[in-house]
Amino acid sequence: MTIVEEKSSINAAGGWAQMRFLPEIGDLSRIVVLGVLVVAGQILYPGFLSPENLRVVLTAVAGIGILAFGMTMVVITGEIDLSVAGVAVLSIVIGGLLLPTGSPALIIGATLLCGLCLGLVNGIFVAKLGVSSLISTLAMLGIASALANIFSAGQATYPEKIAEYMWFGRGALLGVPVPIFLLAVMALACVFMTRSSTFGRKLYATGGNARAALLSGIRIDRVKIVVFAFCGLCAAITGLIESARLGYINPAAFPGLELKVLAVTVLGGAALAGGTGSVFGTLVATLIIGVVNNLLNQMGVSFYMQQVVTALVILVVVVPGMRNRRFVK
Amino acid sequence: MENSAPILELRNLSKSFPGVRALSNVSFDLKAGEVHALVGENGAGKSTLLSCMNGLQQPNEGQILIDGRQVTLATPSVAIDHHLAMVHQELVLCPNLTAAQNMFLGREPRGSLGTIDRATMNRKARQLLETIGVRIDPNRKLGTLSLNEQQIVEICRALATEPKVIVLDEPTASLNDDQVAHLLGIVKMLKSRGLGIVYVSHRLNEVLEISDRITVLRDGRVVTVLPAAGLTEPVLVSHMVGKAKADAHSVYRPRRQGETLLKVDGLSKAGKFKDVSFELRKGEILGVAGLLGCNREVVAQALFGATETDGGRIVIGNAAVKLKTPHDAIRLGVAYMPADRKNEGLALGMNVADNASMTTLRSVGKWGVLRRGQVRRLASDLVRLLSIKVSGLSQKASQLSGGNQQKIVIGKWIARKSGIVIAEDPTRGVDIGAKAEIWDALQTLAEEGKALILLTTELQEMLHVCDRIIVMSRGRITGEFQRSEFSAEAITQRFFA
Repeated sequence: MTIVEEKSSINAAGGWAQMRFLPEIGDLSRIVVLGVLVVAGQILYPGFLSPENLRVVLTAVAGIGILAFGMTMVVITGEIDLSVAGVAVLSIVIGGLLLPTGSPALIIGATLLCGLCLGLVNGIFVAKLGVSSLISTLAMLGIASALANIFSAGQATYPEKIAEYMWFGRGALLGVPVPIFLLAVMALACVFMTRSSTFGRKLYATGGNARAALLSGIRIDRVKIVVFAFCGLCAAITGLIESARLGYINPAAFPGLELKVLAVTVLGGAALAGGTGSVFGTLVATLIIGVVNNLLNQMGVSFYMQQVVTALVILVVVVPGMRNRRFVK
Repeated sequence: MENSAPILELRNLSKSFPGVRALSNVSFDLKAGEVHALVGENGAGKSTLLSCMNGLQQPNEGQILIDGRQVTLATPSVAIDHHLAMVHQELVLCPNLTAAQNMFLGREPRGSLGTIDRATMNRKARQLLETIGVRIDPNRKLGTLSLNEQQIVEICRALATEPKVIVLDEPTASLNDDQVAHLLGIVKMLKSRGLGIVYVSHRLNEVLEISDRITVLRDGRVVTVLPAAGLTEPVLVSHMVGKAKADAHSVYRPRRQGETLLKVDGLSKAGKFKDVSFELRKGEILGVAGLLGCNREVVAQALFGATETDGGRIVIGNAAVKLKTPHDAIRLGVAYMPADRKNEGLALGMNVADNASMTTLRSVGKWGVLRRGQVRRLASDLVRLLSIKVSGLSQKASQLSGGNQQKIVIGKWIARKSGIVIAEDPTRGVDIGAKAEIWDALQTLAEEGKALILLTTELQEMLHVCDRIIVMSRGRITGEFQRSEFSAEAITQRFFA
């Protein structure tokens, strides 16, 4: 019945794919890369696909993946958020300062609220004051990291006594580690937001052609504020997960996180010029990075060599797509 | 001189873009020491012809000859190598560099080590300025010079390439009368030095004063080539406008007009327009005519909240309104179809359905959730209504032809069902068949009781469908014509008021 309807209406098969949850063509190449890596992993190391190893792979990239979803949305609007590491660290430090209260709701709530507010400030600077996001979020990175050190006097704090806090890093839900569970929930929420909500259309329109979006009545300033605030919230969640996994709140945590997150975002197919990219692509990219790192670990490749290989993987996946875009006005 | 061979000759140039034939069989020639003007209404094909001369675009058919030899101008730099220089309408200079640096941009004199020889460069710049009798310090930053002086630097830059032919595209568009006189003096001097000059301007008095011959273009064809001596402005205008097309009256459908929906009262914006007042009724299509620089499009943007105003009132229905953003205007029932569909109308990377639903996200969604069925229905209704040719609703807007892109811009506003519709050049770059469909769609909107404001570059189009036309010149309203009084000549003359 559905198929008959599809054929009778004016569009061809192409229309169908994009209207549904199916991945776009661009994502397909990433899925293939991921598939090849997984098959290769299983051949090289027969234990690769064991539940234990998958848990290791996914837990390791859950934090970066969640943050990359927020970053993807920012990048789709044509902006960039370089402040995520600073926002993440200041958020957990604020939570850490409240550890003596012993109230999980207060600690976790303050952490998340801090991330949200810092993101909101980023958004207001960009959308209302017209500051370039490159500059304003770079400033936010510096300020937030410094404040984290000032507030904490450079001292780490230990949330181990707050069970609810530790749950974010070490807990499990129906046998699934909480970081993986959160990665899945955030992925679903973000895919829904970008693909199935009216907000998602505004997001792509803002990045695709801000002027056309504005002239169509889309309040692009609000769209940008929302995505920056959301990205800030994602940073706080990532901070929460990572600090709980490690069991301590380090005011010097996450150096260079913003570049790792950006790398995952572009690997996922988002173009820094805005208008393109998908949360699904970013999810696949997160998994690719997780699998590559895991395989390199199993091979015993050194930490630095791993970084070289990871960077090469990104180039190999991203460059072919870029070549088509060049010179196209 | 009369008998000398042309230094530049275009033979039967034709140029087509998808869906539109911009030039057909255009021939043009220029002799040394001659000023040959190109005139025509907007959209007549002047820009395309200049682009072909300048190497920005290549003709599909025809030949370009320089000094009797056939050449292919693949890029602007090849054109320069063939001693063809262009002075652009919009200044294309770097305000942060000095006058001399701008003149020799990319062609700086080199010293023995390959470094830029500043002394030589400044000396040459000074010589150039002296040859045309202007005192400008070549070491001054371009941004600190007046517009007039910048124009002269641009001319010197063209002269620095040692051209035989200079193309001046609207060189006086932003100059006042004294500056124009000065510039025309320079043109005469260049002519006396044996350069060939192609002169393009909307200011017909200038054209008549400076030219030896005038080529009139209309709809991409050469209408006539006239000696300027003895020619008068009204005669020239009648050649430009041509006889009203036979179908002008068959397109128009008489309709009833209702109460006043929009009242603009003394609207002003410093430097752009002043004291603009008019009313618009339900069921009416009001044309706003004028040349480039009359700023009618800024008035249109002001009515849509896309630009700020600093005086006057806008009344929609019975209430004075303040339009700060397009969002405000849209909520009050104003729609705006921009002329520049690529930059202002569409998100080219998005698909047909997403572009078509961009103005109606609230109604195709429910609780913020996109109802894909609604989006598809809306988009396919529009595709059918406007006969938009698409391979599917998920085809990217960038893959559509210009006419179909334009129809989507129109369609997304039809979907919004706004009471007041401002349409800027809705048929730009659209073929004849699509044009008729667009006119039909706009007239249907008027028949449904909507009020339309129409701005087109081709006056003829407004004569086809408007109930009333107001004319603007340099930011002011200079004339108003009811349909019964429509005459291309009379209206065009108000352009120059």
